[in-house]
Amino acid sequence: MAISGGYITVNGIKTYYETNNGPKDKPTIVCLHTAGRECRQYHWMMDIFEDRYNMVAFDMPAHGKSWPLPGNKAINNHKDYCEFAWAFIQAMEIENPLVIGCSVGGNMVYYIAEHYPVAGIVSMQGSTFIKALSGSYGTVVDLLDHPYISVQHSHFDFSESLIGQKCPEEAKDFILWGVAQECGVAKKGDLSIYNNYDVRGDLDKISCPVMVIRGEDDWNVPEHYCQEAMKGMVNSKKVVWKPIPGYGHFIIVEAPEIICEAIDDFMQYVDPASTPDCA
Amino acid sequence: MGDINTKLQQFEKVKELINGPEAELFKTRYLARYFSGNITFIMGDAPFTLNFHKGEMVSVELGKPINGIHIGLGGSDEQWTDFFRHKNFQLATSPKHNPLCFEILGSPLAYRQNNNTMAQLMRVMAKVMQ
Repeated sequence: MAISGGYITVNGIKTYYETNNGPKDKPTIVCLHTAGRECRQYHWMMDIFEDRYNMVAFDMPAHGKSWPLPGNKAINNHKDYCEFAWAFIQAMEIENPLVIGCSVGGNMVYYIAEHYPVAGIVSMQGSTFIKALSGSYGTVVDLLDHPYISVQHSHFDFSESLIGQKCPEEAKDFILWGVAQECGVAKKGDLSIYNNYDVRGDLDKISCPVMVIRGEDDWNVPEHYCQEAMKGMVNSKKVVWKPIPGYGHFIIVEAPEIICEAIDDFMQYVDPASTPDCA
Repeated sequence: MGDINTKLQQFEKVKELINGPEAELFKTRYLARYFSGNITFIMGDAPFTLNFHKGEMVSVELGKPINGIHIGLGGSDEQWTDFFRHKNFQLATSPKHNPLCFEILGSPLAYRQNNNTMAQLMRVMAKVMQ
């Protein structure tokens, strides 16, 4: 069955989601998109997993086809982000999901696993800790919805610089089309979430299996981010480390076959019936 | 890093490339057709100012513009050598990831507006100066 989309109201926000309508005998895979973008990033993976896993991806408020928060605002902190993601999962009546995310989504899965009963998480291009410098990175974030700045143009080269050398041209085009469609308010919200994120203190609360994926060409997510995360998850049932050479920050679009293969392998550690302890 | 005269000659070569074989990419994909003004690069102690009109490089001069720097970057010889090695503009300007990151000069607003143009110009510079 092809990918289909729909709307569901989550915490009063009309929220757009897509699913590949896959089989429901294994944990449903819930997907979190990268900063400023939307759920179409998971189309390739949804097609690959069509007959294997049920996948659900959704647009965060103010992104893609989802409505913004009241007053045309976006979520701007990680607790509200994860609370919304969990409310979506509950509204969709998904139990024991495998939650996967890339970039800011890859950061958020750690907090979700610390605080919500998930069957497992996959963090791609993620970190448990981002220390940004207020005098520089903060200024860039402030300029994202400045009336004299075109966010669709000003971040083109930045996104391009994060793409891996092996990325196919059509995937690169889609990634850069994503920049061309960004909304400054949404991007500013996401990078505010990204900025000064730190959930290292609660990593020992994570008991579910975890896979950490890093496209090695991503200069913005150095390997030590992943190593530090893995070192902290001392109570996780299983931690799988998957470095992927030649690909970069948008790895779900750049190398969907490789990611699907890795997730397929990882699923052996994810028990659909288990509900890990969480705070 | 070479002396000032060598650097000026290299910037003349950059001008040939940016107005010649690199022009279409520079003006279209990297949006330089919208850029008129000047870009100042401080290399060690020496400032070089490149003047542009609608993405065409008009001239290079030694010194800072008398009406102030429009946009630019400054760094030591060590910082420039590091950039010419990795050639990644975004990494070169990231204080989060690079202890050798450049100092951004001029207007932050204009710098952000012309980020793509700066990035591509720097890549062409790296081809000539590495």
